[in-house]
Amino acid sequence: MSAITQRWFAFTQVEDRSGASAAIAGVFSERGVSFGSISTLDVHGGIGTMCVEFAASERLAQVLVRTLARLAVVRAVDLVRADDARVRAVAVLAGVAVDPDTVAGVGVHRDGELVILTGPLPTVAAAVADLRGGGAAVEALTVLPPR
Amino acid sequence: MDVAIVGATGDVGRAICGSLIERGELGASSRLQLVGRAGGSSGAAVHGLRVDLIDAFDERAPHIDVATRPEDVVADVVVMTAGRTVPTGTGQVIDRDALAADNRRVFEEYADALAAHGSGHEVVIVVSNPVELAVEVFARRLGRHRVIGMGAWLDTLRFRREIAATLGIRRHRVSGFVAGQHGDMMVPLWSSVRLRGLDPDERAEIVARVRGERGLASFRSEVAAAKQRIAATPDVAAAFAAIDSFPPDIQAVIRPYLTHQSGAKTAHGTANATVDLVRTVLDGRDIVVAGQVLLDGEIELGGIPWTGVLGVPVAVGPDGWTRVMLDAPAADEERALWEVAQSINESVAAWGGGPR
Repeated sequence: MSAITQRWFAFTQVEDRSGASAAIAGVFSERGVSFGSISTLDVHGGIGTMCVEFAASERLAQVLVRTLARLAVVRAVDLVRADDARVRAVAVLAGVAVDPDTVAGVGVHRDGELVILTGPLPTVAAAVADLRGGGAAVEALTVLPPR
Repeated sequence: MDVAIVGATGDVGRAICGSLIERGELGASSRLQLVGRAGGSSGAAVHGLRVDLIDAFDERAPHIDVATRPEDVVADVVVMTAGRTVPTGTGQVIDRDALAADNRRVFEEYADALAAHGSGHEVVIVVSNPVELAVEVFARRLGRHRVIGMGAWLDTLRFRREIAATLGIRRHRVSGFVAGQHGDMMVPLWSSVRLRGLDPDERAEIVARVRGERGLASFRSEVAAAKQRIAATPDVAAAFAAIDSFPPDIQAVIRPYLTHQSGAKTAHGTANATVDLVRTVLDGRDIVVAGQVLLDGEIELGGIPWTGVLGVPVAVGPDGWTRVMLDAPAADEERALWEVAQSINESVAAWGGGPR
């Protein structure tokens, strides 16, 4: 990542209707910005929250968010830097060979074969990288809106 | 790419919206933003216009968005059509000072909002009048190269059309530019006229025949005389017919003047010229058009590097205009441009423009 380009998350509240994802994708693709990841979080009462990860300068990130906010399907957008300490994550892993209870700052939950990690994004991401190196399979890594 | 039309519910704004969609200039993932004024009639009407456009063009419409506050204008290209317009109808006097006094506040409001909240890369195409004042206000706040007035391009298209009609050919076979001030004080650059498919000597002979033994020194007085003749012809159809006897450069001024006097407006011609410029910006290639721009020494007039707003041929691309393309104007053209440029600077200063 350059000094100008940073990683961002745009937590976008979207109406749950056909074409919403395409409209959001169009805003990014028209400006040549690639998604690092995109995921749908909670969908309830006709409104869903989508998390879009991307890399851009702060100026371009603001342009993207202002443009997203003008879409008819978008109710609100919250732009957060990826290194914001308030950003949290959930990871689901299988085939974890080592005991992950020792990872500092990460909550660990077990569900049979699956291990679920929760905590600040950088800490969870580091733990996932370690466990992946040890042979674990990463089923999902989802970023949550800041609290 | 997204386009905002400030003043979308006006005659020109509506025509631009329709033309942009009809000509397919905005893709399905692009956004057309209709901007009205909160608290005014346009603030309500933009919502209706949005529905009307979707009704008309659902199969090909881009996303259509409504904004009613200057700070909510978000687009790659902003078309400024807001503000009071020149009155239409027989005998209506065009008071550009009053127009400037009313519209300056509108220009400043949107220019300040774009400067504060914009991306720093919007290209503004000015349709509102006085176009020279609007260009000055936006250019001082956003940067000179991001602001283009469309008046000179409209005059250019009219000039080309009149030459084409005189020769019995279509407009796209004629090139050449109009510079100066939009309207009566335009400067037709006869030296820039080219006719497709003709050698230089063939072209020179035809242009000399079409232009006649006239230089630009008499242009203003010819325009004034033509207006008097039109005013003395109460039958509008006869007045339009009388215009056909004028030279093409006089026709380019008088025909839209009479169109206005007739009570009709020039919304479609204006919209077409504007959409041309929008397409040029969206296209991503540098294309030479004519436009009002804020010069800062790019050309010399009267022997000095000129500073001020003036209509000139410019190369326009995705980031606005880049270069002035005024190659070796004839002596009478340079003289006329100098006089008009001085007049514009005096007017803009009187209207409260100039460096902040």
